[in-house]
Amino acid sequence: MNEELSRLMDGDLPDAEVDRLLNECRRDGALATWACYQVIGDTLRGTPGAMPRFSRRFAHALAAEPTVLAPRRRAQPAPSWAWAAAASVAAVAVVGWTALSLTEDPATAIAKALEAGSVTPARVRPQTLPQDYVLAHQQYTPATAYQGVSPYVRVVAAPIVDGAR
Amino acid sequence: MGDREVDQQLVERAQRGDKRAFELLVAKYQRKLGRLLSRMVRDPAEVEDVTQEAFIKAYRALPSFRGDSAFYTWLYRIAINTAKNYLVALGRRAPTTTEFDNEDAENFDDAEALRDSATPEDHLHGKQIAETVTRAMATLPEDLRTAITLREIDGLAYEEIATLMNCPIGTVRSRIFRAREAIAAELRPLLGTDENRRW
Repeated sequence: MNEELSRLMDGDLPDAEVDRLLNECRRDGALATWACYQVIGDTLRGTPGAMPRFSRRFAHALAAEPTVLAPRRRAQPAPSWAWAAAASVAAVAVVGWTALSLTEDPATAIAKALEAGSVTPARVRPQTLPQDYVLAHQQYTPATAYQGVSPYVRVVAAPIVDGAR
Repeated sequence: MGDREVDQQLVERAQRGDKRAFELLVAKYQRKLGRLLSRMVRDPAEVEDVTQEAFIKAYRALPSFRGDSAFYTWLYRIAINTAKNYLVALGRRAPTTTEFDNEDAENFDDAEALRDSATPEDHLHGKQIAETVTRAMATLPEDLRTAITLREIDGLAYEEIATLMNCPIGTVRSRIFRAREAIAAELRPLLGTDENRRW
């Protein structure tokens, strides 16, 4: 265990092993060894002395203290500037996308214009129903007063094709 | 992992109710804090009282420590305020704020102040400790002495020491531990500590 205390002192002990070591520290002598290593380090760095009575006195005082239990800190929420930055980026993206979708690329516009020039009107299929038949049928179709003469006019005004009459 | 991260490991455990972790921090910083406070409170017995009070206040305030600064920096501020309040309560002049608040807490050099305020017994005790450590260092094998010097005096990490000494990290780890154990064997009788006693 002393080697692990030495490693803890130098920051070489993995976090997972610290808990186990602290549990084992309840064994007598572990704190004394840790304190001794600290005195060695301080002395080598040229800072003399020890407070031999202090540790025992303090241990009694600390034992009389209620155990501190700090609530676990929740994961740090994203800082407000991050939210602001994210919102700005999203706004720029939406505006940019909209602007791009409304603005045609010149090459695309030219291609569309060329396509439009080459369009030929569709051939209208001639009406093949006999005009008399439709006119006669018109009299029996349900109609309201609001329609007036519109249905009749449409039928009569239809072009006569290929001797349909 | 640096000193700050090691302290943070212990602080987090103390915050979860492990008093032993806080005791390790106290054992680490009690001399440094005592030296700092001896600049403000001259009487050695009072220095110990104020040091203890500062640590107890720090323990009570642990839930508020968020790790924004190094543990020692936080402790330093508590200790300075404790000493000021102590002096004010005694009707003595507390040092002005700038005398200590502008101090670089991490690089506080106060060995001279300790010599001024220590009792003759403390002074002798400190001298004996220094002599014992020096003597024990001199008897160490060269590789052990180099390893612990690079670690404790130069503050190098194990990786850096391994590179300098051209050996694996495991060897560095072992050499530093063996050096500490060899010195501790000489030092324990002087500190009045025993591996089989708590302190």
